[in-house]
Amino acid sequence: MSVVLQVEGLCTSFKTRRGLLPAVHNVDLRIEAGETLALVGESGSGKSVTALSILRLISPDHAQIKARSLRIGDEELCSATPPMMRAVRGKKAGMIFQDPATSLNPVLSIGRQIVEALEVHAVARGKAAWDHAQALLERVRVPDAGRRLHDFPHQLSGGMNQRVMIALAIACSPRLLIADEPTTALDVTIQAQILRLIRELQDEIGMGVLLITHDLAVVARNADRVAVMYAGRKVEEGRVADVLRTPLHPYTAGLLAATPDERSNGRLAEIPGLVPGLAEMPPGCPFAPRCTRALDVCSGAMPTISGSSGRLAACFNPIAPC
Amino acid sequence: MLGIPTNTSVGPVLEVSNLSLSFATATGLVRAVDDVSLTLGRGETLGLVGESGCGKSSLARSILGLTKPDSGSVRLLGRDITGMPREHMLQCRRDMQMIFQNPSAALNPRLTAGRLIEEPLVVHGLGRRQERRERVGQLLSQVGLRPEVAQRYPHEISGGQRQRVAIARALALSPAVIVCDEPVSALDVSVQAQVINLLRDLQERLGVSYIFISHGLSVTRHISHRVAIMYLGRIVEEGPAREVFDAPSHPYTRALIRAAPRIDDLSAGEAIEMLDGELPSPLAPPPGCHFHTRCPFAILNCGCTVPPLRATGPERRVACHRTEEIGVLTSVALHEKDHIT
Repeated sequence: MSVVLQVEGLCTSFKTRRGLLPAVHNVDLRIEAGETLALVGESGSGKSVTALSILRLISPDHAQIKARSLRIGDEELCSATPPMMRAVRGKKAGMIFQDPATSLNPVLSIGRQIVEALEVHAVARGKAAWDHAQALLERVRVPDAGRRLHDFPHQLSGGMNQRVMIALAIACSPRLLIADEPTTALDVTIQAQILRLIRELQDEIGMGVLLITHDLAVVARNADRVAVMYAGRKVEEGRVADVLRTPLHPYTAGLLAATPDERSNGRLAEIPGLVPGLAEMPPGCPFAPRCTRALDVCSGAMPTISGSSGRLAACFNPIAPC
Repeated sequence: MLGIPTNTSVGPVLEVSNLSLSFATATGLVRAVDDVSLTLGRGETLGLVGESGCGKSSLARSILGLTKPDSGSVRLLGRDITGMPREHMLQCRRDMQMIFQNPSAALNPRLTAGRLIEEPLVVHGLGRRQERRERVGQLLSQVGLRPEVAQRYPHEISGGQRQRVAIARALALSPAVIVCDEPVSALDVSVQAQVINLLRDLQERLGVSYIFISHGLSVTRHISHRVAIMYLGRIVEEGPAREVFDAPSHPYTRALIRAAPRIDDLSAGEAIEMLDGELPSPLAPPPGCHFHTRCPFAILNCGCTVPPLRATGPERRVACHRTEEIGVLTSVALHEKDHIT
């Protein structure tokens, strides 16, 4: 299996009036071809910042992005220049966002937007590009694709616009697809359709997928492995079935218990307190103030993430030995 | 106390009968709510489930009297409140309050939490200043907020705390019914659990009834006693929450529940049965049963006549011509299903 994404020691800090505030701290990620890694966390956990940092979609004026290694496919992008990154985005790595309506250009037809992507990356030009665009729309199962090419985003439903975004993202058959909450704004039945579509295209193209979501239920069915983030750090990682059935980190266990399911009755388990803000990060483990299993050591030192055969947790007092 | 009357009547606190509501648009009439009837008992939670555009928020707005329905009636504590003049409506609003999805948009950013919670009491002319302040303190503790939050502005507190302020404000007049429109959809999972627990605790303590509107199936299942499933303005199925979720009757309910991701469903990559196509335009809903264009069980009749919402059990109602047949059909072996559909 070839590795499509390899991130080592990613640190992203925002430049603010109060100085550099770390939003992502020492995160490692690895995705193989054909594999889906889910990145899960609540708001402020750093999951979207991680994705934006990988593709350098945060301006260097606003943030400092550092990594020991950042490879997409076989290309090391750790010190890539902006023109190099432009060649990577859309070509080697596609990205889809939560809200397709704000990601698409409202004054260009969807066909024009797909053709633009194809021309920029020199995949096709002119008539051939339009034919290619229609084929892409058919591939993402947009009905009546030939006519839809000339529609504008506001003429399409949210689900159809997300299909257009996916068509744009896969236009150059990328090795890596980053999907940031791709179905959060969509209805349940449309969500199922879009997630299935991503899975099918992944099998066809053999791309790796980084699926960012806050919803553990979406992870269950749609990912092979999962990494849980809290306050900018990766706190747990493993195969989906292992992490969801036998979580090691108290935060993962808390999230699972707080999610209502078939069996939940009466009170849901709460995680007391709030996710800490970037500026008020506690010393030691950032989850310690909310953690029911916290030891004295937890408020003093940050546990490093460790484990074996891809089953990792960053905790001094994990639920099971890791 | 402020002499706020408590509801002691027996029977449903809310009774919606044959309610219809349409909107005129540039391209025609949209029937947002189509002949909907519902009841809500005291201390009960009725979950209203459906996808965007199914009319659940429109239904809520016309129940609250914020939008005037075309026909049908809404009875709150036995009084018909449809078409009630404004000044009488104000009185009725004491018994019916609302919580919205986004508390940041629903709360006036220029008022402190204390003033926001006090405002309904002022509007209804209840109590003297000192009494109102005491009531605010009591409400804050009821929703699990510390007294000092009263001095904070909405932007100074977290999203979960803001939703607690919105709940305290809705509770201020001791209403019989609170309509909750996606009250936890904007919250993180850990905070969502806190707010759901709070809503349940308050119901146990105060006997308040909820209409709980949500697109999140697991949350609705968890909090609701009964659920009503809506599709393009009509209720297609209704019954006790657990029964409906465990053994859905209507093909749409079945598809909806199957499509919803679940934590314990680890069948990664496996093909699941799911609905094809999208919600038809509410401007031109399909004739007959609105769902027949996407329904795997549809027969000719489904496109011609509207199936009535009829009782299929002591507490269950389903609007489907073929409920009984489908029940038999789906109990046969899976591999035979191809021949049937």
